[in-house]
Amino acid sequence: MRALKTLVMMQLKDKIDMSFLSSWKKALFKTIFWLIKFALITAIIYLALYVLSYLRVVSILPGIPQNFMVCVFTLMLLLSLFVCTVGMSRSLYFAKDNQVLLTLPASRTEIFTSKIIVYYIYELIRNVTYFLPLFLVYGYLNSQPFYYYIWVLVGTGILTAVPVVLGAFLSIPMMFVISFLKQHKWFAYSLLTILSVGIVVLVIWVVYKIPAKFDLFANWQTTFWKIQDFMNEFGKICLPFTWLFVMVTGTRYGISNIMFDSKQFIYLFSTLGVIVVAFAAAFLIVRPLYFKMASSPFEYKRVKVKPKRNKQSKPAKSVLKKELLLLYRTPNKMFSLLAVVIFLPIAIFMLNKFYMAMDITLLGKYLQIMFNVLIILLIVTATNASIAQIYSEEGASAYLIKTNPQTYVKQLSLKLVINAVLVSLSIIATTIVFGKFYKFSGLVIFELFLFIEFVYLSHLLWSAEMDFMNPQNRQYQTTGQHINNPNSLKSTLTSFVLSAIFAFLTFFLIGEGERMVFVRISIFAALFLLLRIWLYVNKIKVYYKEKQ
Amino acid sequence: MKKSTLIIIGVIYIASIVIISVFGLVPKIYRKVYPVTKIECLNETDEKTIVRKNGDEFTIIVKFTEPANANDMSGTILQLRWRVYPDNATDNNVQFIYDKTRKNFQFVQDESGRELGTVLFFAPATFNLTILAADGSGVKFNLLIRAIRI
Repeated sequence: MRALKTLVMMQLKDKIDMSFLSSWKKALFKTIFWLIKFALITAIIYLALYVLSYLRVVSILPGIPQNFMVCVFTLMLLLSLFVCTVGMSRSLYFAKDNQVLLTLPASRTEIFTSKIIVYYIYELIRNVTYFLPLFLVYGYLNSQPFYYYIWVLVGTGILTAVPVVLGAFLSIPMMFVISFLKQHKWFAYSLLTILSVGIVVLVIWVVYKIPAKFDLFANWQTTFWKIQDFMNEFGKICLPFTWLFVMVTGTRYGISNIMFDSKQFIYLFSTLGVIVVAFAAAFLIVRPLYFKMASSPFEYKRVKVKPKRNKQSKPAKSVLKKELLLLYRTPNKMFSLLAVVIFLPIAIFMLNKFYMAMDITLLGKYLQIMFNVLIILLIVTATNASIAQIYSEEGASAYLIKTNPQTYVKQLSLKLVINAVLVSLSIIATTIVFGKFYKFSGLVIFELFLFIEFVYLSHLLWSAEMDFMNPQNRQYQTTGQHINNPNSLKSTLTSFVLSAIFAFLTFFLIGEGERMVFVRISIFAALFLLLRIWLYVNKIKVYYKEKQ
Repeated sequence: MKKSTLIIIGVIYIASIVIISVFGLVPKIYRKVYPVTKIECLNETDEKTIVRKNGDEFTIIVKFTEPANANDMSGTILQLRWRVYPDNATDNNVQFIYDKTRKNFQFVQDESGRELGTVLFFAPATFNLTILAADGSGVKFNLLIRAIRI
């Protein structure tokens, strides 16, 4: 048991920042911070569900109906199951720490069990943060008795085990899929391209389904019953999820709540049975496979690499080539960036299709333009959260910057070029889509593009500056990732603030005409960009001189 | 992009449509009154009730287990579900017409005194109920409700 506990704590430290355990002050701060986060999430969920209940959007009766919550719960649990399956596959079969764990003085069963426990704890923390507030608010709005809140804590614990053990069981086919895709990269990229094209086609098809004229309030009753029919059908199709939901919250019948009836107990024991059977199956089938995979010696594995001629390139071209290679070899980053680049114009197209279906006043038109600007800026500046860790990601290799035969400013700026180019292309497409809907002239579209581009570039440089002024190299050096990078958080917060400021400016100045508003805001954005360029260049000069 | 950032952007995306619908739409004056033309009871047979439809006769049989408790809403309870046609009826409220002198059942009311279609049974009971359109059109739906021990 002691070995199991040690194994669990060792692996937990990789997933969760446990540094707060070293001092009571840090632990207190962490606890308060977590409580504030929990309270904030609960408050947001309460506000959303209260509005739905007050306006009778999802039910003609007061409170929140069960069928609506089943829809939300199903989507969240499916996502959790998918994440658990992929995560368990990686953790069990592809994690580099497996070979190290096998050398420790612990039995193989203890090592395998520790992996499952670590995942359970990680999922429990996530579920307590997101699922539990949902259940608590549902109970409060539906006037549940006090014992509901006690049971929900137990129910959340049981519910957490479901995706974990099912994920462990489903990790076997997932492992084969991941292995196949790793060995046949061309197939992986082709599949991804086909999926992306499919999703784009589906989204465009949905967008064309939006009616030409759409009056939410006039057609509300019809829409309400369509929502009711959808939720009822959904509950019937996703029956196991309905049973799981009833297991945790009891049955909501009209405005009455039924807890601890025979139905709930049947679902509870069935769930426990499924957990036991899935765990037993994982133990019997997954465990031997896990050891076989974990025992494969990686130190002596020879990967055949085709020798390539070493070509000499200019320094700038070398840096760009290296960045492209790094991006290509980090699929998560590449697909995340490409997803934003491709979906931004589609998202704005879909949004404006909704807007054009409304019969609006002049105020409505101004609000539409403001929201377009806000959403475009939010999306493009939010991508800079990855820029706020671009230098620290190099970890211990950051010193190589001193060996490059060019200035620091040039080297550091070149790392930003790929992101800037790709997102700028997306901004061009987006501003054309936006401008066409509102019948802006070519000149106004160009001014709009300049405005958004300047804001994006300013924030890009600002995020990069956050990284080299507060480097997090050590975290990336040891673990390869940084769960709560303060620079990424700061970059995200500033992106929201900046987007809000420029969106409000647009709204307040739009009364003077589209031409004037974008000229003025572009000038303001250009001045802001010049300021950020000046700060970026000078801070590099100061920082790297200090580092010397 | 973090999941939380995506969620917030998604919320703003959807909220923008709602905000513009509230503040930016051209006001429409709906002069035309659309009266209620039909009321339909949507209750179906489940583990607590048996619904029988025989031509114009609509009967809901409730399995009486234990007397209902108005404080914690436990015991034998029937939740009526109904739909008013057309969907764009000007007034889609309904009234429940039944023998109010009877003591073995009770209709639950909200804070404003409106009945919500929730019936609490304190003892086995049989009664006729009429769901009447509140717009004065005279459209109604008659049903028989029986709470019996099975």
